Amino acid sequence: MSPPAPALHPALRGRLTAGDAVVLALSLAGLVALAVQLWGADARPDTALVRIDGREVLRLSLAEAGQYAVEGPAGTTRVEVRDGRIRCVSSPGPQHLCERAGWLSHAGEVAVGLPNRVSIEVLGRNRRFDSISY
Amino acid sequence: MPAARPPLEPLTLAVDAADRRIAWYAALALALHVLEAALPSPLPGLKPGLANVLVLIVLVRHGLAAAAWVAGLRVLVGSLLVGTFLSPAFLLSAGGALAALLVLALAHASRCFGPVGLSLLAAEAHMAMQFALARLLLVPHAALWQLLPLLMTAAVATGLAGGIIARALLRTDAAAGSRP
Repeated sequence: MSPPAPALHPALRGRLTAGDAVVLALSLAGLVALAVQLWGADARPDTALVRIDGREVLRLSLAEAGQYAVEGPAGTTRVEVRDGRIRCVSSPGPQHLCERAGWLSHAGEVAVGLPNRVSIEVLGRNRRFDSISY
Repeated sequence: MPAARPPLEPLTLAVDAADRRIAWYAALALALHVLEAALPSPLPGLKPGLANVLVLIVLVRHGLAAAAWVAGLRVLVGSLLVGTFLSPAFLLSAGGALAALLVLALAHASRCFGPVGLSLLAAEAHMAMQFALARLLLVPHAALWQLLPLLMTAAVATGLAGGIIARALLRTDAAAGSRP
């Protein structure tokens, strides 16, 4: 005796349905769209901000390569822009934390050198806090 | 005052088969939850989600109410066992589980999807809600968006794997003609 077909839910029989195929296809397409949207070239931020003591001293376009020097209370900090990225080349801090942050290319990435009160930040769409820890 | 009162019956709560079933499934989901908590994870929020496969199976076999019980007990007791109760991780876990359950309920009611589609939808809803909560409450920073494609890829992968597991389990049922 087989139960009437419509009474049994497709999932109960472990069936693959057309709906499953649609969900899978849309999921994969969505992943590609997400990656393109968030990782693609358009999503790359194009501006970086260099601050000394919280004051904006340079606003740089990441599209134009170049070397810049800013003067802070402890000396000169050199920054370099190349290939849509920015980095701190040299800074007077003893631990060289600013240099060790490496290349910054994503929105919100920051390098700071505290002795020279310098910070380099790649601008994102919006910025608030780094994080909140509990 | 009556001289001899009949001895009081011990107070018992009626436990029916459905309650026992929920308890068994919840226990199984908890075991998976704790097991997964012990696994190292490359990223916070990334888990195989096997406990959610169980919720899917319970939904398909026994309906929404039973699935909601198993999911709720899993999140609550699981957080107590792992020690994250009322922590941010608990909030993300509860929000994700709730979103997954809602999506599962709707998708299941539509009768359009088998276990693979249901599992994919649930995993994606779980991850999306978890990410939204994390973005709003924990790390309100634009850089978090960079993780979303990676996290959603993981959700699709685990959702697909979970769906295949659920399908295999449900098919063994169907073949045996039994619904335990």
